[in-house]
Amino acid sequence: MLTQLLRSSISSALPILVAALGASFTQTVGKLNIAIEGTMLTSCFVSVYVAARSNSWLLGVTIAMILSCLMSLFVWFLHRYLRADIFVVGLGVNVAASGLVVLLSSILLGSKGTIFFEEIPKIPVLRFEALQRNETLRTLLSDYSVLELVAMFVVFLSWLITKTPLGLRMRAVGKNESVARQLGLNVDGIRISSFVFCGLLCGLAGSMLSLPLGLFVAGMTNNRGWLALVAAVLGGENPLGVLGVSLTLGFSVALSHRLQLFTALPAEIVLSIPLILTLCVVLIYNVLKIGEKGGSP
Amino acid sequence: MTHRKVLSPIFTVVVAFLICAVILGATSRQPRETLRWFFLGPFSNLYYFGNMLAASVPLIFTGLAACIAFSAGVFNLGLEGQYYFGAIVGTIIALSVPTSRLSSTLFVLVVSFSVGGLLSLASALLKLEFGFSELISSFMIGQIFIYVGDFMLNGPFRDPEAALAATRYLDEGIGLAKILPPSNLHVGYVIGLTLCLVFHFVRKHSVMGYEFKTVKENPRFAKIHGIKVEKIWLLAMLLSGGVAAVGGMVEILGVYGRAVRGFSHGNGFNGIAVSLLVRNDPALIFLSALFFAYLESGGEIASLMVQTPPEIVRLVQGIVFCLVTAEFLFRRSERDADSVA
Repeated sequence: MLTQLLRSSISSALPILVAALGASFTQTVGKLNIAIEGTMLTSCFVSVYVAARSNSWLLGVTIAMILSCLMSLFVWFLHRYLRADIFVVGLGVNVAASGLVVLLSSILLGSKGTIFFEEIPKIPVLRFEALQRNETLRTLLSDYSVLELVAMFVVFLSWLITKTPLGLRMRAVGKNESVARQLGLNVDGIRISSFVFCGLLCGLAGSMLSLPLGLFVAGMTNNRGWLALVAAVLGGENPLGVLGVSLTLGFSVALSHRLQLFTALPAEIVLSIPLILTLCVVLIYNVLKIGEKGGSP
Repeated sequence: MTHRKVLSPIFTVVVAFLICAVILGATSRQPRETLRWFFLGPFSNLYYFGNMLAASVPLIFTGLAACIAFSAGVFNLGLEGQYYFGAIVGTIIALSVPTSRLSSTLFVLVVSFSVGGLLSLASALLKLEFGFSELISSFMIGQIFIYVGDFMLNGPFRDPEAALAATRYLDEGIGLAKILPPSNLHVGYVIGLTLCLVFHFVRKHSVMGYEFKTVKENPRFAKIHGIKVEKIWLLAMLLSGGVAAVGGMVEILGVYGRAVRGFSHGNGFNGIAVSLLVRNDPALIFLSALFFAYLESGGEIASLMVQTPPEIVRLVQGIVFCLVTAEFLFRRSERDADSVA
């Protein structure tokens, strides 16, 4: 029971974590992209639709990642070249995406509700034969889908990037733009690259939600994008911090699923549990942080 | 008002219309009919026209709510939750007070105001006490209370005879008077306009307005100047949440007559765009609210007449959001001090 809960925490945490790392890149360069929710939702739809059409999940993920990369560059473009407020543009993308996916699904598939894609290609699963005998190890370590493994690899990669010159330059740009410029850094290029990373990661995160299930609903992301933002803001520039917060979030999402199945709590209350838990974690974190400094924030 | 301040919103509106027309034309089987109903439908008769004005009422309130927060340089992203939850609590109170008296209507509005105000005040306090961005906390608290509101409507306060999650109908005596029957337009429109004008004058001609402005532009300077920055932030958040909740309550008293699950459908969020479209000028909020309501009613009429998917409206609203703060065609050096940054 507990191991299953842990396992499903990991599975729920991964999409949030991936998206959060994307957001964290943009935050590092000082331009937090809050269009995550909309970008994820769009790639949810695109990946599952393309996968069902082309009968290749890989193509679905790729197209979704490219598209969400374009979306995130769109945000950057509006902000940089038309001087739009990045935060309002992000909200706009979120609102537009929620309309767009329903519109697309009603035009392309003739339905607005839950859409099941029956002939969706199965994503391969990695199974360790050696672990099959031990129940606990099997639930925890085996049977991850390729997508999830890719996500884990991406997490590792993001951590690696923060250690490269590019990662350090991103931090420099975020810390002080004009100094970075005077040092001869290509500020625009660095920011664009962080938005590209953000888009790619959001695309992956979106596909992770819809592809394994082979279905699409308009409310599919269900605030995960916002949870990812919370993780990014709290985790800051440190991918390990983002990892910690995302795991907490994943755990609370998994817990709320369990509660929905096994208790008589009303669905509405259960749905709000991840948010409430996150808020509490955030509060405790902030209180501790203030305590460490021993003064007012 | 500089040239740019006038031109930029107009340009946004024109671009939004064009995009809207292109999307409608591309997706519809009878593009001409669709475009006609979408753009001219709201003006085709007095009933639709009145309904369009009525649809702008909640947006005037939430737009003003967003504007109040922006005016002091804070963000309130929980408008949706404040609007929804404040109105639900207000409705529940309204069901148990003696009705058909003006005082009870006022009482109910005050209750909603306090509930919404408390929700937003909570995130302002988190900001001041723990340095936790009000942007995220207000959104999260808002979302939580949307779920709580859903639960209340579906659980303890659900009318057992209703087919959907909703409370009992309110007594007619407590509702707001209609202006243009048979359409939905009600006195709430006038209340909303009055509040906007009041805030306009407060902002322009009072000490409080000056304090708001100083805090927004330079909190440090304001502090040195002896303005209690924390107090202004708290006040702005309180008023912002309160006005949003009153908007929800007015909508229920004027149009719905009971609290129905999901009745807010994005009105809270759209308030932010409504305010930004006119660069947070409270005297003009009614215009941008009308613009949003026009798109919404156009979409509704078109979906009724020629079965266009009403989600197009969300798409267009999103695009408006994206363009609201963009500066087309204008010199960069003229960056508006009023725009949120």
